[in-house]
Amino acid sequence: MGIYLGGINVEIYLDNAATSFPKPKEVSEAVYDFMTNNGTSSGRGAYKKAMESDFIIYECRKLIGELFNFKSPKNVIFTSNVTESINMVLRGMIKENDHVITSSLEHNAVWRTLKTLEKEKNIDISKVKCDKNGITKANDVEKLIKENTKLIIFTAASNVIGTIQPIKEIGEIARKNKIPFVVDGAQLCGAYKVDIEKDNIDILTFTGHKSLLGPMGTGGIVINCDYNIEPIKSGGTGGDSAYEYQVNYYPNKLETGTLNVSGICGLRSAIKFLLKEQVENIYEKEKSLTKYALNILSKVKDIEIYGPKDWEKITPVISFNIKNKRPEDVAHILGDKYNIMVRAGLHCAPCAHEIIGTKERGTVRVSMGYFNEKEEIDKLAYALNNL
Amino acid sequence: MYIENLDLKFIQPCTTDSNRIRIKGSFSRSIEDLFPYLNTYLKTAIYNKKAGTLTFNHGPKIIIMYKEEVAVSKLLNETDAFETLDYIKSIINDCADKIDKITPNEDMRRLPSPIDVYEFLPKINCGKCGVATCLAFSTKLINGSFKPNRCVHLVEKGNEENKEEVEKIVLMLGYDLQ
Repeated sequence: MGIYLGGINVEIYLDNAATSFPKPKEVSEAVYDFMTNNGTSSGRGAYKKAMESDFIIYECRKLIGELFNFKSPKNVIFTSNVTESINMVLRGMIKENDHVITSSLEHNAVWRTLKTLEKEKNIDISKVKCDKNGITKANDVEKLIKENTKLIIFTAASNVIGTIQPIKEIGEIARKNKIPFVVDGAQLCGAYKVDIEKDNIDILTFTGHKSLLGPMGTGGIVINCDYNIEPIKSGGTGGDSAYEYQVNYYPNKLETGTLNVSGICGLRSAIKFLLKEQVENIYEKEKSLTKYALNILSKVKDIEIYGPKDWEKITPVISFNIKNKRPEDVAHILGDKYNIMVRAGLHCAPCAHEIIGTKERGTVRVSMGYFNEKEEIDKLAYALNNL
Repeated sequence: MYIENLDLKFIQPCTTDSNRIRIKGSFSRSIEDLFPYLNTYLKTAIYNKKAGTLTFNHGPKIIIMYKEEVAVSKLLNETDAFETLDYIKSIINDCADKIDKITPNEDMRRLPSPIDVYEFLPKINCGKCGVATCLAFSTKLINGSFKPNRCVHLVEKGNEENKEEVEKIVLMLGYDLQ
């Protein structure tokens, strides 16, 4: 796991909130092995290799269930990423004139979908207020519930400042009021223990390529409720082929067209890796990195760090700015001069930037992963002091 | 663990009707010795010692265990297939774990009779199936020499529910539908 840091040209990757890198070697090996030695569709054939594909898909559904304490593999739906998952859920559940409650920190995956539905279906959106550190009070959700509230959707953690949201408490309120509770788990799944039962989550959306350490092009939905999600896509499912409409049973109801078996094969290996390493250990390692980074970065000259600055309250994501420097220039110099990869801009989440007052300017965002080391943070701090 | 693996060996996936996926799985060892215990454990299973089968329902699914393999009918999809294989594996291993507390039973519970089939037939004695009466057709179904689709009226539109019931009985007896 150790990374050689001796030379100035050693690459340092601190953009794990966008996509985690590197991946466990088992992940790429599994994708390569599948594409080289199997390569068949799932749900489409009766020969041995197709049945092996079927099993890969099934085992991955089961492992995802194990990771999130969920017992029904057929209610684990595969998609190409969390944005697709969120679109499928919101578009499949929200109808004309419905009311939706959401956080003040949403990524555009949620926010643009809701705004589009506002235009198309005249829906009413209520944002739950939070403070400048992204802290939301669960009780504020209850105050916004109306007679026509169709669902509550919340990011589990901000992708800009990392603030973890009170999912369990909001879920409790949603259950009490019989309102479906949808969680955007993009930033939290794999980085933090998510227990779909204890956290009162009805629908969990996730992506494979961030902290789950899987390949891009993988994601999904875990449906822990009986609320109806109308399919927004129709097509071949491998079964019931003479029936002229989309089938009404999971997972085929929401999975149509050939699945990304090679990607899911990689995701399966990634989840096996997470279960072996244990999310609790990953969380402890990343928390210790975050604590270290907050301490070191706070000493960088002319830096302003946003968010709670409390490693217990955030995922390993830190947004900051350097006085009199544009974030994109900082990111460019870090990349060009020091081989340090970070993200600059709005990070597809303008709502969160409204909260921290950086909507016009954006921020530099560093996001650490399981394979980062403290020495890399030292190098980042050195680079920021010598831009 | 009594059986380590229960692997999928056959699947009939792209079919025209729902509830029609059939699979076969093979056990990593023979379960023949466990049949009398499973017969007690499962409560509603039909154990046919002579034929070496143990048949039971799990929801709408019909499960027929042989000593080396298992056949399951009326599955929704591949996920349902693997979930069901997991379920079968778990009950076999659970039964094996509790073997000291289970009294083995080699008796066969009541098998479906021709009268049970007759109830769902058109009862018009048209003879188109090759025998003179619907009751005779029922007897042929029960002994496995006829298949349900030999009755031209049973497969007509509007008779779907009756056909379904007859097929269930045929599957419970361990016969194929085709």
